[in-house]
Amino acid sequence: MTSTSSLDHLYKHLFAKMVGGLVKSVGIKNISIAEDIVQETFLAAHQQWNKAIPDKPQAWLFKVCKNIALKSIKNEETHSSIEKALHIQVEADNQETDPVFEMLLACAHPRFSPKQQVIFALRYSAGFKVDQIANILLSKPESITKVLQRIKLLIKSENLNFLPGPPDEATQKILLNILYLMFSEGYKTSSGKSILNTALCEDALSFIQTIIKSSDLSTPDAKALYALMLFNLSRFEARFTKVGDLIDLEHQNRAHWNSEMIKVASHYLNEARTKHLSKYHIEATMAYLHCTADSFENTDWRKIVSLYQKLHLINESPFIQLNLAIAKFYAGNMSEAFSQLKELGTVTFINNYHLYHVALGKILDRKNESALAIQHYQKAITLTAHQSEKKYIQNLIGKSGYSN
Amino acid sequence: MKKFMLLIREDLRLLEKMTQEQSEADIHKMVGWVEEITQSGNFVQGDPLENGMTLVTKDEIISDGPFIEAKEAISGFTIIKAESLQQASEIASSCPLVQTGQIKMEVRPIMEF
Repeated sequence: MTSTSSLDHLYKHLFAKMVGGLVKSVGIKNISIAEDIVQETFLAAHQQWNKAIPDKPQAWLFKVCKNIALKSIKNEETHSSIEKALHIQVEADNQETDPVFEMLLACAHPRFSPKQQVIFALRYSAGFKVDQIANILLSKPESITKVLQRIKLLIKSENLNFLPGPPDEATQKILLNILYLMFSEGYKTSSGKSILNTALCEDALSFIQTIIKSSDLSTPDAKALYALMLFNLSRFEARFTKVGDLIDLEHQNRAHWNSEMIKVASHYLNEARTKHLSKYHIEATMAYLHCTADSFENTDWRKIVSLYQKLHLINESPFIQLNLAIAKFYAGNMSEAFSQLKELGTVTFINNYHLYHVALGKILDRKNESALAIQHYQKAITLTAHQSEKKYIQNLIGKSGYSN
Repeated sequence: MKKFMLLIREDLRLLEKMTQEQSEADIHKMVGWVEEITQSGNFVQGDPLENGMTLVTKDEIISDGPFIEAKEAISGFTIIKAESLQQASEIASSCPLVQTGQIKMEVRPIMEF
């Protein structure tokens, strides 16, 4: 391993641990100071490891980090807690209160928007660099930096602190939503960031596992979210051809789905049973129905329709109505589905959403109206910026008229 | 979570001068943002508004608007769900058109009886 690649690996693994450890001593309002110390540590490593990588790189980093911290923080009282926080890190990787997880809890604050929470979590819990986060969220590094600065400003100006003791119900809800969004960003299909995507999904999975293992935090909702992640992951690879082109659910080779993972997911979905239904229960149940059906046609679409109806009660939005109408079509309710879709087209945001036109195109194709279908596919191409999606839709145009 | 109405304000005279491509690009940015806040469970509904308008009062219906002296007027609305007025404001400020300064959003809690 070269010094750069091993440092990149260590950065991803240790950045959040180190910042989190320091924050424990200096307080979250001084997160910028903690971050500067850790950055300086990695800069030192970058300069010195060119000659020789130390025998114990991780211990080296913690030691240097501690020294920089002691030098730059004048407060004597803080010194002993810094020694302690960083010392524990070297001694044991798995301690009771993982600072990375505490950083995740810190951003599960109702004062922040979900987007701010996700960006904070990607930086200070998952340890992604700013340009990697920009890449993941298809944004610009400057915008990510701006969001991070805004969060730090809010932490300072509103004097936000780590809440002692186990998190309350509201915090737990926000926490699950952060992990749901993190995972979704990782699962999204856009080319050129597949390694980051995999890392992100793995991070979200590992955080939800921590929650499920914790007696204070494990809830039916958390188990349902875990099941949902596993169902989706079981299809992770099957969504692409060998050259990386997208394959939709209908045309994926179901033999390539990870059946072991589907079994584990089903187990957790079963364990998640409870009286109330969260969006994770509903989405995981839909994923279960897809994962266990032997073909696209043999999927229990009527059940999926009723699940979308329930989801719409929890989270009313035209985007869910869109999925509901699509499910109705495959459940055999074609005329009702078609008229609902047409009506949704009067909503500007839906009419300018590429997947709406993809859905209409597919339905028109099935009705042997390929000329009209192609019009919708062409509109869809103009509405997405993702090359992989454009290519996928172009493929649909090529196949239009031949599919039946 | 509570519901909030985001009233979108912008310079209607600039809006009228916009080319089709410019307004399509704007809608595209808005759709991206709406998609994002849908996934996070915050979006409820919303639409842009056309420019034509009337002002209806006790005595008359005036039909040659815009009527206000200020150059800004409401050009659209979005309804979202959020934990608090503060969170709703952070969500509003993440809108790409707000960030470029092209639109402003007035964030108002919807009254619940």
